[in-house]
Amino acid sequence: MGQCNCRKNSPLTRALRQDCQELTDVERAIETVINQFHCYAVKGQKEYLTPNEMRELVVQKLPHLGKCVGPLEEKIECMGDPDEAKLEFGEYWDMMGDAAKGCRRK
Amino acid sequence: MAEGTELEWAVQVLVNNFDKYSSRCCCCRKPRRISKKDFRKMLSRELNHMLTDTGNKRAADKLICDLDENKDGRISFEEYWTLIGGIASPIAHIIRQQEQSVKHTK
Repeated sequence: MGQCNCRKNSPLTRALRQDCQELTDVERAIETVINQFHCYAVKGQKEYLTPNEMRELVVQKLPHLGKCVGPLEEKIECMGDPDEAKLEFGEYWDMMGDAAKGCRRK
Repeated sequence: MAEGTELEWAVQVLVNNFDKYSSRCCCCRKPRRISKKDFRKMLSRELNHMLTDTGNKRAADKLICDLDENKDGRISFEEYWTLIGGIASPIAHIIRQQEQSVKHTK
């Protein structure tokens, strides 16, 4: 788990490429953020990340920006029972927002 | 940011996009913001594939209205991030649904 090969051609890309239009960088970026969530959200069938999946994603995919997200273990603890806790897409997006703010400070 | 991952690249693209369309207000000490006019320009230039149908466009308009919480007509980085999340979230949902329907038809 974790090292899954993210599909280069997601349904969105395929749907959009049908009329031969190239996605803009911003669109590709949004798609990448979505794909990474889906890649790691195995147990929740792409609906949510478990605390362990979230940890893997941050460690593997945000090696430079991970620290901007804040103390990871603290965050995981706040999520509550590790077997029950779920991180949904909206919360994941907010977390990426924290990473983005870290980017801006650089 | 050298040697970042795909996800870090994506976050950086979204940050750069904000910087591209935002400007400083008269007072240099205030953080950069995007005017509503420039935000619309950004949506049509950078997200034209994702916001193709009018339904999405209308949703984006509503989001812009709702988002400008302090009613100053300018969008901060936080507001920008939430807005892009508001576009990404339904797309993530559509991708999941499409994949599920593919599974069912197989």
